Amino acid sequence: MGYQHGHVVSISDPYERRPSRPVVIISDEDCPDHGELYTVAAMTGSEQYGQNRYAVTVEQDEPEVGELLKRSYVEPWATKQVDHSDIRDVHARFGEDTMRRLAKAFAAMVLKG
Amino acid sequence: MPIHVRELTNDEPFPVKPETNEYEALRFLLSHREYGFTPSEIADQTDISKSSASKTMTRLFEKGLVERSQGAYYVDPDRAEKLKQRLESLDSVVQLFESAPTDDAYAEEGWEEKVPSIDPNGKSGTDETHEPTAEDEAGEIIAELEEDAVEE
Repeated sequence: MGYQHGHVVSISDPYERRPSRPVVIISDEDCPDHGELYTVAAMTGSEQYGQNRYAVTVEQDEPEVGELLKRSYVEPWATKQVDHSDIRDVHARFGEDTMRRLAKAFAAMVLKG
Repeated sequence: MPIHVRELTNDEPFPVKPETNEYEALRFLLSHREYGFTPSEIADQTDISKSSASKTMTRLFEKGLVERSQGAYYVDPDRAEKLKQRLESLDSVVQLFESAPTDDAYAEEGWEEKVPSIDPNGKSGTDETHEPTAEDEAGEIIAELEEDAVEE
């Protein structure tokens, strides 16, 4: 089972102390080792994190498929590469408009504009 | 019965937790993958105590993560890259958790049950019939950013 670009997936705590964390997959099949490795951006429901200028607000019912727990914020500054096996579940899929807003946040951050 | 590392990539959590002797020993062997080491030698070159090293290596061996020959432990060269990838992913996940805010609904127990799973293989309605290049797409986004900046 492979995951796709735009999927909101949960990742388990390796220490098994806390609930899993949501992230969104931002890599796609054109990236090396896609299917084994995914580049992900962290997500949060924290209003405080949501106030960061690069945070991307996503409404609860905004995903093209599925939904979020509540209004959430994608954190472009917190990206990681994770192995397929560290992903536990898939909860939603963002549509093109949401991913485009995320791309703009990345571009603004990279260009510092 | 040891589990092959390829099977460990199928939705199973990695059987080694971060910041444990097993983690440290496996990382050490991956960093010195050309050689085999006895538990005593591993203890000498890591923070693992001599009294714990043998038990640690036995556990890694029983989990099928390392090989053993003539008392020395080593990583199968064919599996070394995948194991390294798993450890790196483990490090990434630890960092994701460490940097997560505490005032977060996603930090509360049971949030996963409130957000049903979806079919990961479900079709998206946004699949495009033509494929613009990544550079074209980035150019459009940058143009939009510049327009946004002018409007502000």
